[in-house]
Amino acid sequence: MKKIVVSVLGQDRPGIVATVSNILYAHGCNIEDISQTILQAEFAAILLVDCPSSCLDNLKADLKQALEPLELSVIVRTAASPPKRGAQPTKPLVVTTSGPDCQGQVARVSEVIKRAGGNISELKAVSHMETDDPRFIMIFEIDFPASLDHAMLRRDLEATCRELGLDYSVQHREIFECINRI
Amino acid sequence: MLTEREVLSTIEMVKNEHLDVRTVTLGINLFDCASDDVHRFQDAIYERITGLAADLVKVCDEFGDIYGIPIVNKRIAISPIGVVGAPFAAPQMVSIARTLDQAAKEVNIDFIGGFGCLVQKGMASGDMALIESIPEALTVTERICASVNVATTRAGINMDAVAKMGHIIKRAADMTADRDGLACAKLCVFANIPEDVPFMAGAYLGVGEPSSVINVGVSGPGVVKKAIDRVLASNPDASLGEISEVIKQTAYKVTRAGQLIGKNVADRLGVQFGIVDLSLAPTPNVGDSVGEIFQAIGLRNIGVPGSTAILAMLNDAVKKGGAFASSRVGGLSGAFIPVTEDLNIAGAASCGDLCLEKLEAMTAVCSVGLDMVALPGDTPAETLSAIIADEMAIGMINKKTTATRIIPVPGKKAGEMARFGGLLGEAEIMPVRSPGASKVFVRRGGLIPAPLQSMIN
Repeated sequence: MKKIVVSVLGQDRPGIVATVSNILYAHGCNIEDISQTILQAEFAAILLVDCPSSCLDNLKADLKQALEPLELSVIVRTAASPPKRGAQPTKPLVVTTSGPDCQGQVARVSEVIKRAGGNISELKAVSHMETDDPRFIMIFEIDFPASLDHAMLRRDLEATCRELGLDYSVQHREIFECINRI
Repeated sequence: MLTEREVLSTIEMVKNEHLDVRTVTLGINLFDCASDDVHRFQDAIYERITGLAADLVKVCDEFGDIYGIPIVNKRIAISPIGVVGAPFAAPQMVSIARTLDQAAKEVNIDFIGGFGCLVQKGMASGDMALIESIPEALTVTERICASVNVATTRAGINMDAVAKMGHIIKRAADMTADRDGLACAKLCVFANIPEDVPFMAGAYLGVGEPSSVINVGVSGPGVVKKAIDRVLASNPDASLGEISEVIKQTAYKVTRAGQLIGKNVADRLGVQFGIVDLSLAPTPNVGDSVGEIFQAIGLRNIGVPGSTAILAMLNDAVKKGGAFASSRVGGLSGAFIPVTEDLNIAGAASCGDLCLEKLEAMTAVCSVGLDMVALPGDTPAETLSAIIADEMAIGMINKKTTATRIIPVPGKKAGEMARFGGLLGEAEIMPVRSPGASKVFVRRGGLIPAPLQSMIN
């Protein structure tokens, strides 16, 4: 068996997951992990699959044949090895920005995160432009090195967000979990 | 993965609804500092406090920054000085207060509580000396808070102490006449004082407490008010049961924040974590008011008919939410109704919707008592004592904590403004009905016996 990644992208419609998973099933694959989302009308899914090595080429061909007529693109590649357990301890922080929707804000804020050694594990960017309080909100969940200089990150974010006219907050992930979850 | 709602609602609570950790209070046991030599005693307590609390402010600020929730006050609560300083006379008690004040300034904390004693059944010599020293001690220091427990459900009310406290309050007010009697704002008279209160002016470290402990006081009247507003915006006909449920859920969230931060501060300092005191403690800011909650639920102002019922519901819902959020809820845990410290309550008092008698009735169902009430400067000491006695009776009979923090403002009459500044706020002076009509009763002294525990109607 070989671990592969299947990613599917295209216009959302009913039945995409059923089509993909049935093809995988027919080729004797086992789905280990799926993440699927819809952004506006765009469908995106990423599947981590155990696949018999012998049928990988056939699988790729069948997926393309089934999905391309539906205007869905599909990529199949070998999966990367997961990180070793017990690696570097991290500090999970949540950075939130809120303000006018201006070009480059994702790039600028993520650059600050990169400079501080942060790895973004989740990112949501939500447009609230059609409401009484129009704003574009970004929520980054980030794993920083445990040695992170919190004050320096805050200063860097402060400077960048001031230039972009954004409100920002940076808080330990724990606070959101403990307030909102039992 | 966090949801958008989880993240945004939490940030909203902090940024726009005044969610904060009102106080992280480090309890410090001073019993083993006791000495018959006042200088040795002062050196020992100074060293103990500045040693244990050296990093308190730094650690609190660090965790406030990490979690994005400000810790507004860092405080210390100590063993009652009336007990640990028992050998000393009143002038020495004043110099002990100065030492405590210096220690507080050295470690940069906001207040130090525990300059007090427990005299519900009688006053020992140390207690007498401490009580005598209170007016001067609170005048010459900045950060000392004093409390005197004069009643408990099991002991009754020590009316000798109550009578004494009326005069002490008058003297404390007169000595700080240039600041509207500010010393009285740092002095509480209690019934059933808890051993683990992190809030001032009643904080002290009880005899049954560890040698050092972190107790946390969380506040969030603004968060509760906004939560009620949101419910009523989506359902204007929401019932009181539904509103109570919302208060309970909100109290849960606020308590969880306090527990998380307090536990981390305690771990970092290597100190035992004590309790979370979830009290709706207002500040003199719009949007951070207990009074506004009453208006949100449907009263013109706190103080009008219906207020006691709402306060009972509010207090109960806060306790239920808090108890579910933490297995370590303690202190006062309920709603505070301090007149000068809440813009909205002060407004209700000045427009006549809230009078002293209604305030007293409300204290039967809230977690504190007659708190930060400015009274006319010419109110006789015996009348102050009688007001205290009434409040103590409510606490004693209802098996709950009650307190008075009343300020007879020197040279000012009802309707004039008393201004204390900062978190202590300002308010119009409330009229006292029938001043001077309680002298004979108060001067009898003695002990009002403890109530029967079986027939409780």
